[in-house]
Formats: sequence, C-alpha cells, structure tokens
Amino acid sequence: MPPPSAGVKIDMISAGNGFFALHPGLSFSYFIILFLLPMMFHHPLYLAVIFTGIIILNLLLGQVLVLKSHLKWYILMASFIIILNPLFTSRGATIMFYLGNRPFTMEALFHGGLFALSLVSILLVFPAYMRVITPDRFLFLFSSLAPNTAFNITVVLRFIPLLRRRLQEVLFVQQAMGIFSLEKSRRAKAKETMETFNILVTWSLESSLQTAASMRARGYETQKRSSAMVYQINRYDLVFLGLIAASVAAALLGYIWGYGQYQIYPYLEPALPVLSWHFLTIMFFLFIPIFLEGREWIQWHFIRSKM
Amino acid sequence: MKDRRNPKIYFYPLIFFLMVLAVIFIWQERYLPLSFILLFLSMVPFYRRFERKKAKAEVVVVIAVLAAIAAVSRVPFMALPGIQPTSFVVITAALVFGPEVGFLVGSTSALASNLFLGQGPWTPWQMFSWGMMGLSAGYLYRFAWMQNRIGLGIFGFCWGFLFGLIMNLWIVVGFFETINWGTFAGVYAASFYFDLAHGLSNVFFIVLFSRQWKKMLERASRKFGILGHTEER
Repeated sequence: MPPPSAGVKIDMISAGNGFFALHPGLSFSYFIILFLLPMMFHHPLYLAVIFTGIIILNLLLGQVLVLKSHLKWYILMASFIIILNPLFTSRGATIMFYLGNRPFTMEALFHGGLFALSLVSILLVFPAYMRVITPDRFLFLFSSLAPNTAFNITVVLRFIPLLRRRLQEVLFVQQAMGIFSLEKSRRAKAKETMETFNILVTWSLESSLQTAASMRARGYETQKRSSAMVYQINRYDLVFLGLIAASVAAALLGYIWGYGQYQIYPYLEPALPVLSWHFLTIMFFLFIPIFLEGREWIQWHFIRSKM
Repeated sequence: MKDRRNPKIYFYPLIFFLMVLAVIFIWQERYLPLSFILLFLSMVPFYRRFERKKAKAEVVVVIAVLAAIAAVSRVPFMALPGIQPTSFVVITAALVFGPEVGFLVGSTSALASNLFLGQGPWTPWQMFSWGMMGLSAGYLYRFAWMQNRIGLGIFGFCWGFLFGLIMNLWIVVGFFETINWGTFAGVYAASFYFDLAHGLSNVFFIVLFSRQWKKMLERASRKFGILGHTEER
C-alpha cells in the first residue's frame, strides 16, 4: 500500500506508460487470470516460470520494498506447507524415513513444495495488483457493473485511514488521562480498549451522517455518477486485448486437453520433456506486462535524448 | 437510475463463463480456484440486491462506516491476541440494520481489513464467513430467544466455531492435496483454541457492550431516518 503522500505520484503514473497505459478493464482481467494460473498448473516447470514472471513484474512495478517486508511471512507460510503435506500424506514410493509408523516420502515433500510455490505465487500477485488497480481505477471499472458496491468499497477505503488517525487521537487523549497505564488483567484491558473504541464509534457515526448529508447536497443520487478519470479503449488496447485473449484461449484449451498436468505419485515424472506450445503460450502471457514495463525501463535508463 | 451501459449485458455472460470454468475445475480436480468461483457465485445475489435498490446516501455511508469500524477495530486489539471485536461489530450492525446490511458490512469489512493486514486467498472466505455471520444475525433477530443477551451470547459463541469451520475449509483446500477425515480432524484440532477464543471474545463483547452499541446505532439510524428506510423496503 502506498503511503498517503504518494497520491500525486500515482496519478501521474496511472495516466501514462507501460502497463499503466492499458485500459483498466484489460489490466484487471489480466490480473484475474494471473491469480488463476498458479492454482491451475501444479507442474514444477510451469510454476517456476509463473513465479519468476510474477516476481519480475513486481520488481518492474517498483514493489521491491513490499516484497522485502513480506518476505518473512512468505517463507514462514511456504515452509509450513512444505512440512505439513508429507505429515498427512504417505503416498509416494521413495520413502525417506519413518515418523512412528508413517512413511515420510520424497514425493509428498515435493508436492508440498509445489503447493507452497503455487500459494506464494498467488500472494505475490497482490502487490502488483494493488499498484496497478488503484482505487480510482477500481471505481471506474465497477461503477457500470455494480455502482453501489463499487462506491461503497471506495468510501470504506477512504474511511479506514481516517478512522485510524482518529483512533490514534482518541488513544492519545485516553493515555494522557491515565487509562491503559496500570498492569491489569486481560479482561480488564479488553474492556478498557473497547470503551475507548466506543468513543471512536460515536464520533465516526455522527460525522459520517454529516458526510451523507453533504453528499446529498452535492447532488448524490440525482444522476448517474461520472468518473474522475476517463479511460477509453484505443488501438493499443485492442492489440493487447487480442494478444491476451488469444493466449488465454490457447492456454485454457491446452489445459482441457491435459497440458500442464504433472504426475507425482508413485514416482516423480521427469519435468523437462514437457516443453510444448502450451508452455510457450503461458510464457508469452506472462511476458506481456514485462515487455510493456521493460520497454519503459530500457527507454528511461539507456536511451539518451539526441537533442 | 438510467444507465446507458446496462450492467445486465455483462452479467449473464459472466455468470455463464464462471460456471463453465467451475465445471472445468471440477473435472481437473482443482479445488482452490473452484472454491473461489463458488464463493463468488454465492455472494453475487446479495450484492445484486444491493445494486437493484436506489441506495440513499445515508445507507451507503452507514454501511461503509460500519465496515470501516469493523475493520479498524482489529487495530487497537492487536496487543491482545485472539481478541478482536470485528464479529461483534458485524453482529450488532445486523441486529440494528437488518440481515442485508449485516451481510454487506461483514463482507466489506473482511475485504477492507485485509488491505492493511494482507490480502490473500483467504479474503473471499473471510468475506463469505463474516457476511453470513451478519446475515444470520439479522434473520434470527426476529425470534424472541435472540433478543436477550443470553441468546445473543450463545449465537456469538456458536459463530466463533462456525467461522473457524468455514475458514478451516480454505486451509484444507489450499494446503493439502489429500482431503480426508484425518486432515480435517488435524486442522480442526489445531484451530480449536483460536475458535474457542473467538467464540469467548464474542460472548464477552456481547454481554458487556451489546446494549450500549445497539443504543448508539439505533440513535444514529433514527436521527437520520435510516431505520425507516430499511423497514419500508
């Protein structure tokens, strides 16, 4: 999540280049498919490529710090899954050792690894998604499909930082008055915290209803809401729509035909000979935003102005 | 509202496409994406009902502020692990404003609170669980046994476990390849303490604060004529 001060910067970027230049509908659909890919293909090669693609996308979008700050959590989760799977599954032919009566198999461990890679890939899509689909783009996208819901979510997004700031204020005053200062039981602490929280609730309810009155005074619900940003579909979008749609259709068709499946039990299947047109399609799909962003990056860093 | 770009044009093809996708996932035994599609489809009717209405500015803002409150309420309680009043906020909101608002508050707050706690594959599951919590609280409130603190406390306690039950499904579907009774038992045993803490903290908040909160919310809704609005529809 960008800091509040970065608002202006985001607007400048979202007006413009690379992956941001695509119509939000297109980039949103791209992300939905990107979420589905690691869930669909539990194949080591596919997952490795998808994982790398998502990491590169995040780096190009400038989400290095987000990745770093979540790294510990990703590793924790991944190792949890890797270890957990062989404990519950004793399928597989290559037994590494016995835990009590249960065999601990290499295949199950490997499957745990695949699961972990798939889950971490899904988690890694979120930082990139949050960078590209900013709240204003989200509102633009869904204000025709689900206007009330989209607007509601946008208002919630605005209220959360406001409420957190107010909460900080309330806590500050309460602390100055000596509440929270003594060592108390858990129960008493919870009660005190909730009483403090109630102050925030009454305050926010009151002021939110003023917000509603103000909205109405400015003409809410008199007409269809217009969007602050207007995105139009241009030729550029159509080209990429074609490319994305074609690669997705090919990927889905291959998926139905059985490409991208990997057999683990009883023996690990060799992964390499599976390089196929289908695999290349997936690579192509992953390469689209990397191409868009990478071109910008190269232009910015290497091409000198000849003026 | 007159809308030149009619949402219905996208709606039915989208639902149809999702169902086709669901069938493919059933056939390929990919239960995680399947579960997302099913969760999405199960939540669509509620949001659609919300869309069909001409939402008053007050209703939209109150739903938003309640969802934001439910989401932010996790912040001051971070020092006390296992205690979070989000469920309590969702339940009380449903009691005062009805099942539909309860659902919207619950599911929106799950989505919003994960914006700062971290989004993940668990988000749709949480949206569903908290939504259902609000919905059921709103529906059951018409029965006399729900209208006192004992009934509400029991309701909150049960939801502590029901919430765990639903969220454990995601753990089972997302983390394990073999889904059998052993995995279920293991996961439920592991989450028992957390579910118990959730249930007990619900009871704690309901017993101590539900009266005060109902008063606060009812006052707000009366003041700005929201309650009348929800009753007439």
